[in-house]
Amino acid sequence: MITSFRAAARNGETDAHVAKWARDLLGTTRLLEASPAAADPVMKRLLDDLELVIVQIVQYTTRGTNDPEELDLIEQSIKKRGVITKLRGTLPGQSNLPGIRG
Amino acid sequence: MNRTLQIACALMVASATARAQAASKATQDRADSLYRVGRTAIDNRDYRRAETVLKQVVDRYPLADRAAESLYWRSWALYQLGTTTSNRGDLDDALAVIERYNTNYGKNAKMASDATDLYGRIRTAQAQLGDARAAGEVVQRADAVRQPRACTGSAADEEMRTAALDGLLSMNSADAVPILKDVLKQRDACRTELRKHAVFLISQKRSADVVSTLLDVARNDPSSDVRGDAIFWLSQTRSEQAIPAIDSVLFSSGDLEIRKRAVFALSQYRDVRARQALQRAAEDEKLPEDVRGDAIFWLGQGRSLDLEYFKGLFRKTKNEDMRNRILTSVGQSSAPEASTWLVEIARDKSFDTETRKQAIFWAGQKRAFDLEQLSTIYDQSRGDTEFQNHLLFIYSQRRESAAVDKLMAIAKSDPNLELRKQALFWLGQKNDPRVRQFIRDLINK
Repeated sequence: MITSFRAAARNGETDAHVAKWARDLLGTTRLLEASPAAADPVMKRLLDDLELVIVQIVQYTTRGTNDPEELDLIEQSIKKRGVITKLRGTLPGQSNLPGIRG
Repeated sequence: MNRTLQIACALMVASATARAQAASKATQDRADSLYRVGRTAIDNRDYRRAETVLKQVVDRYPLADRAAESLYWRSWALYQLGTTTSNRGDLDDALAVIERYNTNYGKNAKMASDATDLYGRIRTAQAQLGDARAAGEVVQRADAVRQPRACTGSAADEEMRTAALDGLLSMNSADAVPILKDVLKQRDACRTELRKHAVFLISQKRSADVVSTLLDVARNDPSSDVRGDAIFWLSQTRSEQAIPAIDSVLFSSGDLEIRKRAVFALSQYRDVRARQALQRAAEDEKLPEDVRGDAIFWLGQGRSLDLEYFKGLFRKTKNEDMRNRILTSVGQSSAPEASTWLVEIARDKSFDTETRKQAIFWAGQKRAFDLEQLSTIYDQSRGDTEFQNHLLFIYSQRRESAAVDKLMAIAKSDPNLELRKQALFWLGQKNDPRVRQFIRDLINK
């Protein structure tokens, strides 16, 4: 989802499919944050990072306007929180957690 | 004279407008850069600094474009501080800030649902820390969701209902479970997300009817997604009754995905009943191959490999795909006896070539695999070019220099021209100075 968002946003597009996807993923992330899965500190950290990034993506896609500065801030969060690397390192190729699929 | 005065006045007005615009632009720029500092502090997890800086944006530049967003993110940062350190003061501040946002900017519908969502989360966190008023509000909001209402078609409405439901996390089981059961009865398509949340929430509660409710959802909910979640969270309840419940779904559901979820859920238990259910699934030829394959995969993921079980299953099954799944599962094990058995299968010419190829592939993946053995198998397989060809591939995967030696020997003098050419191909993939010299010698021969 993050990769799709970045690709579309770079071209000045906001895809309705990505917007829906982001909202669903935000819901799942928050549920997992409240679940026993978050007792694992590594998972908790990943979920915190994910939530921050997805909240911004949800807000950006909801606005539906092209805002390079906001986009830059989202990109900064993705990089500073190392979300992509952590996702690749933490989750197996095909996760069975509901809502998270490889 | 009048004309000159008019021009002078016009110039003064234009100049004042330009100065005001420049000042406004400068104000926006200062607000923007302060906002950026605040957001960067959030990225750095420095939430205290973030909330302090974002407060300055709102206090100094209340009319700036970023003032509303600063309020939202300040509340967000305070919420993070409040929840990570269980600090009620920070949560109270977070609430005050988001209420200010709602009062001043609530009509900004584009961020309104996020703000309402954050408001609900703050109230839930406050309730979890013993704030009775917050707890009362959470109950009221969740109770409203319990009442079945027709779908309005508004995504925002459904999100609000879901946010209200999430507040039930902090409520005791006796109060929360009846509400959640009512929500799970609302089986309209527009309530799918709501039911997914309810499934999770009910799985977190301790109540006698949690397992039976989840089982009912797993069997009867119209959404495959919700049914799948019900199976997953059913396994996370760790209830004694959950294993037979998941077992029954595995063998009676007509939904392939649900059956696969059930297999995964059972694999999460270290319980003999769960293991036996997986073994029955692996052996049941009436089950879809995908389900049986998953069962075999998960049976092979345990800490200690039950090789005798896999050997028995391998003998019994005539299905080539299932046999390959068994070999793959055994191939994951680092136990020496697993490797020995794989080599036995590879050598046994009563098995078809594909099965033998698969067996030697997995044996060849193990670091401790003996190249001498591979050489013996190669020599014993004369006449079976397809299998020998596959063995060349196994050689090419090995890092030992002896593997290169063997490939060079085959490329040089194997009686089968096709195998000589194939060995040369694999040698060409190696970055080894001996290979370069070998190829030069061959060319100049």
